[in-house]
Amino acid sequence: MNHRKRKIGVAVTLLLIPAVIYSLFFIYPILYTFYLSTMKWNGIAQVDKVFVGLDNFIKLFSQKVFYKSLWNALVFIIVSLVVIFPISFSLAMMVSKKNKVNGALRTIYYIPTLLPMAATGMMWTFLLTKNGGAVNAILEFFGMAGQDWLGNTKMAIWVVALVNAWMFVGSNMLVFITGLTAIPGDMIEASIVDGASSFQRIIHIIIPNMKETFKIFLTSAIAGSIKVFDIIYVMTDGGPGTATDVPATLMYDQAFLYSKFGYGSSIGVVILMLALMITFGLNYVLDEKDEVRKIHKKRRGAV
Amino acid sequence: MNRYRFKRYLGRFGTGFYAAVYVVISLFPLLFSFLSSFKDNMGIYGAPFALPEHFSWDNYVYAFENTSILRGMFNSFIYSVLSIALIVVMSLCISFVYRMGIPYKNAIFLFFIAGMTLPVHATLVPLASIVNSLNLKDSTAGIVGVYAATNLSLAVFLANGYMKGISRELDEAAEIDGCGQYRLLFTVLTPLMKPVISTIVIMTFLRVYNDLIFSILLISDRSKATLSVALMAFKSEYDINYGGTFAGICISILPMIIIYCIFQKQIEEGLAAGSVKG
Repeated sequence: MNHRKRKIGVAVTLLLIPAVIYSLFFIYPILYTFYLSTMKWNGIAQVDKVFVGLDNFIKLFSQKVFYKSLWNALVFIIVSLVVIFPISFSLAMMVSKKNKVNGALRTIYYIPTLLPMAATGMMWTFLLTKNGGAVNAILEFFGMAGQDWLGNTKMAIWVVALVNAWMFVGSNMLVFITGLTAIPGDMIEASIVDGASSFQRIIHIIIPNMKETFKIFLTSAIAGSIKVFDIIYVMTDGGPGTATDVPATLMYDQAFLYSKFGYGSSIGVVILMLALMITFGLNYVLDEKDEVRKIHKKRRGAV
Repeated sequence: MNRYRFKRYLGRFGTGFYAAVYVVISLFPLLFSFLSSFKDNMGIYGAPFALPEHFSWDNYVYAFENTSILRGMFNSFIYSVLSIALIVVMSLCISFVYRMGIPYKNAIFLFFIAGMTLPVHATLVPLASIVNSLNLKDSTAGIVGVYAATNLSLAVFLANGYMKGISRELDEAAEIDGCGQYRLLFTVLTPLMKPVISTIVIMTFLRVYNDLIFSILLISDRSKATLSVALMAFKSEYDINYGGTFAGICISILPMIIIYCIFQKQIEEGLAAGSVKG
């Protein structure tokens, strides 16, 4: 008994600092966001907060710009699925086998992911400048018309999402490589012996074995799109007008530019809830499907 | 047979071509920035793809002398080192508590890994006022505390997973030999955790060193700003010096590329481990 008490003493000592830092700078602010979202407050400590109930949310849900920001987040999801997914998966298939050339390719493909986003974002802003930007210079060289990539209200969000794709293809490629190398080698060998074409191999062996990896990709791509902030802040700051605003930039502007801390917090709560719903909802749905399939398989096996 | 061979060569050529195209897509913007960093505004606009007419370091001199980019790099580096140290120690402590098998260990563990699913953005608004009211604005302690807290969960998850793989017989043997709990953790288990510690170090470094949002929020003093904020300052100057800005971009990119070339294996393993959290 004494021994056990001593162990608990040790545990408390070891947990003390982590618990304080983690609670103070992460958990408490999360809870405080909920509290603030029901208040009207300009962020000045001496000024009283006024309780307004759900007014902030009602106001938020009546704003056009809020739906616009959700649509823009959806653009990031779409680009993740139709651009990042096929490119990073095909690159992963190409370079997953270990040899020198593949190692070098992997390094090169991965570089955009690990650079500071402030640097790569600014770099792309310059490359995409209307007058004298490198992208337009290339187009004009081939006789095509240059575009105002980031100044066009319809196009800007797609352009930014594509730049985002440029940054994240590398890291998702690594995720897929991890999944590919986890497929048992003898399974692949057996399919070669049995004379399966590479297309058949992809459809019948690789894709079914990558389900867990696809799930990880899907969850992080969708939840990540809800949280986008840095790249918008660096490249367009929500502009032109509010054309590229996402939920996080709306929150930032409302709280720190217009000093509406309560209203800003309500946007924070929405981001939090959406991210949680997506993470847990998607995990639940995808697991569910898996279960159903497993049961089917068992039945088929029994027959 | 011949047709089969032809098809195979065609396939090889196709993948080779695709691989090469994506190499260009990945590297072209970086090479272009590098090239432009040696040119003046005229050169960048007039002949964007030409080699610089006369090779000069003027833009780099400008970036070093007129902006706080070196200071920013230094600050980011210090913040990274401090938060890495904190996170490594804290994640080891938490994993060890779980290993000791005290009551409520699952609840404690869940509490500390909850941060993996909580978006940091939801903390921003209150965090600004909390840090202010603690008088921690513009302080190293404030920003390092925030970095340590927001990056802790993944480290705990990884450290705990690794520690589970270490045989418990070791603990029992150590206890029989009269080794205390602290010594067990810091002198017996910690050296065995080197691989996962290096993963945690690298993951945390990448996140903290490249961070933008917290430094915008918590630092207003220029001399304490991080690399990202120092770089953003180029953009807000009224008279944009493109060559200088490209020089700044190259300065901030280069250390990461060098670090990557040295620690490639650890970085790739770390990212693979970090992504598998589902």
